[in-house]
Amino acid sequence: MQENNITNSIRTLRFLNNEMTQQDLAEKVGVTRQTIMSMEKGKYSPTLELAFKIAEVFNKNLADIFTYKKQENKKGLKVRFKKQYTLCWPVLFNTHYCRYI
Amino acid sequence: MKNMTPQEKRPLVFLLIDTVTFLSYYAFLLTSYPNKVLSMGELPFWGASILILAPLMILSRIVLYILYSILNSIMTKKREEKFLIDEFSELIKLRSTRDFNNTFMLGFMITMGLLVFGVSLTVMFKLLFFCVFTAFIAQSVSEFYYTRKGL
Repeated sequence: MQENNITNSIRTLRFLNNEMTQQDLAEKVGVTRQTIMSMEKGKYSPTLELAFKIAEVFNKNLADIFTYKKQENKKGLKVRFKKQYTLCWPVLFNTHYCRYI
Repeated sequence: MKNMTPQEKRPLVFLLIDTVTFLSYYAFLLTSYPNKVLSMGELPFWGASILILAPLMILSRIVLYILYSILNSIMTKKREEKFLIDEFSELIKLRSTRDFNNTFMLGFMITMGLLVFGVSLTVMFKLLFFCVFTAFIAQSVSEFYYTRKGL
């Protein structure tokens, strides 16, 4: 399963907003309680549209609710390395041979 | 089961419905097999049986789930929650459908492979039958898993 790098403060904000229930928030943004539950546990990252709807309910900015944690593991580095070189090789090849055309 | 949300309960109910439907249909087929094979022939019999299986499973899911909801609301004296399909459930549905397809394809390939080793047509069709059933099971299990564990 993919690691979730987005954390949120929905639970705290619900508590601060007159202890709003998960069901209330779900009804306000038009999703199920299951979705809110999964988001609070960090098991699901919402779409941009849903994130904006949640921010609107709490009258906050998106960045006040959702935070992106940058995490780079070994696999990520490997992918970046691979990407860089797959992009580089055709460029190097072309520039090298274009000199002789 | 009590603390589960309707989204978590649904695949479990489907799992039960699918098992009951499949096993009863398979039992019915086995009893009617000798007579029908004589009148229809081996291949048309299995073709018709597999063609009927998928719509039968879907229909039984609809009818039995409605029955379950009615019984559940009578027993718990709670009104059935409105079933909403949002982005999270859409994604789960997509993944579980993918698992359904993958399981069926794997089963299909195994069956074809066994055919190479000289398995009879009857056994092949029986295996294909079980492939459809396993794919339905995989769909329900993955739906339950993704709802619980997240995406």
